[in-house]
Amino acid sequence: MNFLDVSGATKSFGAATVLDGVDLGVGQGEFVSLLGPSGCGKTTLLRIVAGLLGVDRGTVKLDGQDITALPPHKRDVGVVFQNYALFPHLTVAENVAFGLKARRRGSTETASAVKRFLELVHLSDFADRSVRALSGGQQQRVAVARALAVRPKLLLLDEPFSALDRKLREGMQIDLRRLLRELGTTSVFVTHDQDEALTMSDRIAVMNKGGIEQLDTPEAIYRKPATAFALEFVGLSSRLSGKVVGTQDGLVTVETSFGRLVAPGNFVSGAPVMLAVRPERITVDRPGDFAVTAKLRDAVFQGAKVQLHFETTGGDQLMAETADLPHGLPAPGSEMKLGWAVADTLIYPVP
Amino acid sequence: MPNSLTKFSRRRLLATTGAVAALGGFPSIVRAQAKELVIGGAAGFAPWMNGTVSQAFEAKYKTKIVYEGSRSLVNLEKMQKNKDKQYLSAVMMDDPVMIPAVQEGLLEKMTPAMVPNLAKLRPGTVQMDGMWANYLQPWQGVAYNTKSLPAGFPAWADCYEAKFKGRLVIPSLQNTEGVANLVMAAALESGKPIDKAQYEIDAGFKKIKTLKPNLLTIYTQIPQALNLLEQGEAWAIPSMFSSNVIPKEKESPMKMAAPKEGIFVGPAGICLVKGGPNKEMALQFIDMMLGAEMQDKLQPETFAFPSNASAKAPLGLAADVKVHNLDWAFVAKERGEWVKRWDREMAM
Amino acid sequence: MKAAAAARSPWRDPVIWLAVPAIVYLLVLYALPLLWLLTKSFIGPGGFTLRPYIDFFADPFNWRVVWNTLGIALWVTLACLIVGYPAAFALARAGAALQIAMLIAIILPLSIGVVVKAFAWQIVLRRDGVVSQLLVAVGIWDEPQRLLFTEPGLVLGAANIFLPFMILPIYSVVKLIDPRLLEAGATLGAAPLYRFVKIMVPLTLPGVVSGVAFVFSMSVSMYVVPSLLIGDRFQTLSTLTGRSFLFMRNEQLGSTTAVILLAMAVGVVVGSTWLARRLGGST
Repeated sequence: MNFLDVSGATKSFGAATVLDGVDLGVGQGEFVSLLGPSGCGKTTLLRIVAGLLGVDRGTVKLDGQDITALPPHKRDVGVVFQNYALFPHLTVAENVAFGLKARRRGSTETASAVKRFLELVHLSDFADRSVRALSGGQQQRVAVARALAVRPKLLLLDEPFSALDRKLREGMQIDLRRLLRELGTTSVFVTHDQDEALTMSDRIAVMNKGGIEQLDTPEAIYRKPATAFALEFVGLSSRLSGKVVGTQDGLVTVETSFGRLVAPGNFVSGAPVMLAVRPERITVDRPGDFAVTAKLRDAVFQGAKVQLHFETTGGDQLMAETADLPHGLPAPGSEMKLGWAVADTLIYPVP
Repeated sequence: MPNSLTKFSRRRLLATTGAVAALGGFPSIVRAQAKELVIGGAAGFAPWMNGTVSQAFEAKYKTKIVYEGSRSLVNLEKMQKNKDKQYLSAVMMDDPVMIPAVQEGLLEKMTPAMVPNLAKLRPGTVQMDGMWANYLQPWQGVAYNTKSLPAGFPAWADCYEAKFKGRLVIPSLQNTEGVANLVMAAALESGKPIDKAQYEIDAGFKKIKTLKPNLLTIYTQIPQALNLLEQGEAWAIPSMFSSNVIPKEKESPMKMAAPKEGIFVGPAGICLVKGGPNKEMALQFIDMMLGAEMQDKLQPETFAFPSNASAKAPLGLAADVKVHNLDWAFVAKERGEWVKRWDREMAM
Repeated sequence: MKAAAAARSPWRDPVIWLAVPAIVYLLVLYALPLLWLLTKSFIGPGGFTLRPYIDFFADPFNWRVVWNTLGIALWVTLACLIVGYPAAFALARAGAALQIAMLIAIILPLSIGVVVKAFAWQIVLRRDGVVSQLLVAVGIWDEPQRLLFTEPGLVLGAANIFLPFMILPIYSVVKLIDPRLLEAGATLGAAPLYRFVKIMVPLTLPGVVSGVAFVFSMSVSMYVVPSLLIGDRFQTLSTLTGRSFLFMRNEQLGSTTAVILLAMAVGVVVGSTWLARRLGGST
């Protein structure tokens, strides 16, 4: 039994279908990210769950109750907006107190909740400041405290870190995740940033063109992308196109520009496919289940690791990542031997 | 280029410097123009002043008339500001404004020797021994809507009949034509003739207060009153100038009535400015305006009551119509207080 | 810190000098004549005097004039606010094409003279005018009545003339309000009315205050509109002032009424601004 259950959610704006029968289940206390490029429908889905947008078809259930027709203020769903949408005429404390007052909570209860949540976001000293005088990071924390102070059943976060610089963002991601875990708040988080999604989520829903391509743990999404889109959107990979030439015992042999390679899967002979390998699964100068020879085009030094790009033909792409280069950075044009395991080889049909 | 510029704008320049002179005071520029005569008067007179009058005068005396039309009070101010170096030669304005001008010594007395036609005017139209004279006097009667009142408007006393509830529009007492109603009310209340009743203002107020139920409004702007009458929202305007209604009688359902108690003639006066330039021509101009010939000529343009005894009877009036002249000196003295009282007693 | 430093020494900022032409203009053509007017009413034959004011307020009729003036201005302002506030929202949230059409509809009538508009209202407010017919058709009135030359008629006409000055300042404020603030309020559990009162009202208050100040100060001092829509029987301070200067040539009385009018307008404008500050600050 899911705590949040969206089923068959469909939404069109004019001729454009933005959501096409989306199902999404989120368990109690879980943190689920909606990850996808802009226009994939993730924000639309969030607004539908919040009640800020109606669905054309489909239902939204929360905690066993059908809330599809409920207006937003009766849903008990909190939202942290992308621009925070803080009330500019109120102080920090008044912003946090807003929801409590709107729900006609007693003044003692309100005061203690405001105090507690300002402490949780480390803004106690700013209680009486105008929100306009705060930095972006502080404003974001006010928005989080404001949404959480009413203890909503579900918290929705719409790209809350997108306006912050990278350094600040990483610290705040960890803080927010810890806070939500402590409070046990069920959360749905919208982002187009894969690192953010991988860092924070219990599960990630990869969205594309109004649908969910894959809903799984970050690790599964990364290691076993269900679709070519999920593969491409999350993480980097080598991609080689080819044709199936043989199939046997759940293994297919594929003819590629680097020779015959094997991957786990079931395809008929002659089917056009794409093989993929995550770059860190490729070893350099140490053969795995197979070894191919490729000419280095570029070596990108990234500190802890080096990214190696190799020359390919057509739309293919071959890259490896390694932290271990005993002979130093190789020169472009040098021939290198690459190897990887069959188990690490991903295979997708080519449409 | 400079030549054509002078030609084009000489008149306007003259008028403008006149106006500037009125405010700042350098009238010597204007005085240099020997063959021109600057006349002050009401803005509404401009069509016939610049037309009929100007043409006739220029033809006869080879002198151009430059007409400055504005409000009576502005004319008075122009004379006050330029007291030492007048640029206006003659001024046409209402009697109530003439009185302060006389008091301030701005006018020069005229005699029949200077202006022969003064001797030929109807009694009561030469004021203050010749300080000014009335020329063409717009008369005041009752304007009415011919659709609402096909039977006309036979008597001023009818104003008080209940059938006119909310259908009458009267002028404010601050308007020149507004005094007639108060005087007529005084006559109705006191039973005295108009020339005696005009001093019985208490009686006038007592009576006119009873007119309130019949009032649609009290106007200060004549066009608005005419508009209401034309649309039929108002049925009649007791005390309206003939010149505002008679020219429109053909095209709109409005008509001027001369009720049986009589009509009031407006205090339109003409005067000689003391120390004004070109006095000879100014006197010729005044004499022309007071002459029967010019008054007859202007009749179809002004629909006013001629002051020259030998002029033709005014258009649209019976020969035996009773004509009342008011004591404007008395009005001028008292009107401030009357207006205060009017505000209080006639308020909604 | 930078902002605070700038606030401490505004003269350091060269931009302030851009106001010089406006200041000179207002000083020469507005402030000085106004000062002249003020002094005129305080100077009698024997020097400084309050006599004109004492005389003015000793007369109960003048109290009625003051009340007429204030009452009409308050009703006009209220009518403009009631009609203009929602209109400003509609305008701010309308699509581009509709917004342009609405703006034209609001601004274009400003180019029509007040006199023409007052004449038009004269037709509308007649016994057989549109308003009367409408009220009879709807069943509010049993028979046609005349609104022209009545106080409600004056309020109706004047409110129409001054409406843009209420809508535009409110619109300019509403336009800047992030619509997500209302959504945020909703997701925090606030019902629509609560959101309106606690979010929209305080945020639009600056616009409302300037709209009220505009409309009140214009309607408290209007001269042509009452003289055409209600006539001589309803005196206001400005018709009294006009008459004192133009007809009675009593400059002292005219200055006295003008100063009282000015004091009333300034009082209401300053008072409402102060009130708005207070309300805005404590909500």
